[in-house]
Amino acid sequence: MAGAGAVQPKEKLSIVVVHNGVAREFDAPENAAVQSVLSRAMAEFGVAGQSDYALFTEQNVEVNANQSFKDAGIVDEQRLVLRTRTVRSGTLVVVR
Amino acid sequence: MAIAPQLLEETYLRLRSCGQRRRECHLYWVASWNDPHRIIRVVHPAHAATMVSVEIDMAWMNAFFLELADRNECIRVQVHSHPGAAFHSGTDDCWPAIRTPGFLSLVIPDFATGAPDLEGAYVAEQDAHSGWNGVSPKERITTQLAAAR
Repeated sequence: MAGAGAVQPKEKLSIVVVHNGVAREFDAPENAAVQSVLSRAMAEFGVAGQSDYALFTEQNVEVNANQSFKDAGIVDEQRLVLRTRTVRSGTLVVVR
Repeated sequence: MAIAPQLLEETYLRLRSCGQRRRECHLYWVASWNDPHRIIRVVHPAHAATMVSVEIDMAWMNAFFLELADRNECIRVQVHSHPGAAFHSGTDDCWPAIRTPGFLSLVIPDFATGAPDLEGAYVAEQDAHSGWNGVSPKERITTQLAAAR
């Protein structure tokens, strides 16, 4: 049994999502799927309905949306980037 | 949207110097969230390019999004050059960095070899349904210094 001064792991996380220069906090249980915050963030940032968005760590590693935050190794107050996986331009036609 | 003439000139110079009349190039016009209608700097992303395409380095983009948040800035306009006429291609429609209503995409013709005056340029604005609508460059982008202040 942990002593009175032991630090208990937080079951509820506060995740900071960054998109185009704006940072917003989203609360989620650590056993919730990453997809839950991804969907809420996309709605709040006005990009709902887009299929190419994902959350990335500051080290540019995509966070698997099907995993829980705990299993994905995401910790309280961690900053994640909401962005598309690909950005292209040009006259060349690329089939999506 | 207002941009100082010096930044518009920098835009053409960068597109030209990177593209060397044989490759497209891509830039971002950045504003502060405190005054999002005034462009304050031009950013040249890490990218791969051919004569007819540009692909942004997404590790660079990830770091850039973090930098924007730290500086309270945003991408307001994406800018890229075409080898010939300026228009919004299917690629431009499908793969922008920002997909929110009001985001502007500026295309500069002829590898930006012309005068920095937006002549022949094409501007598309993203609508609420992820579609794009062509708008007049000179109506949406003001280059007078007074307007940029």
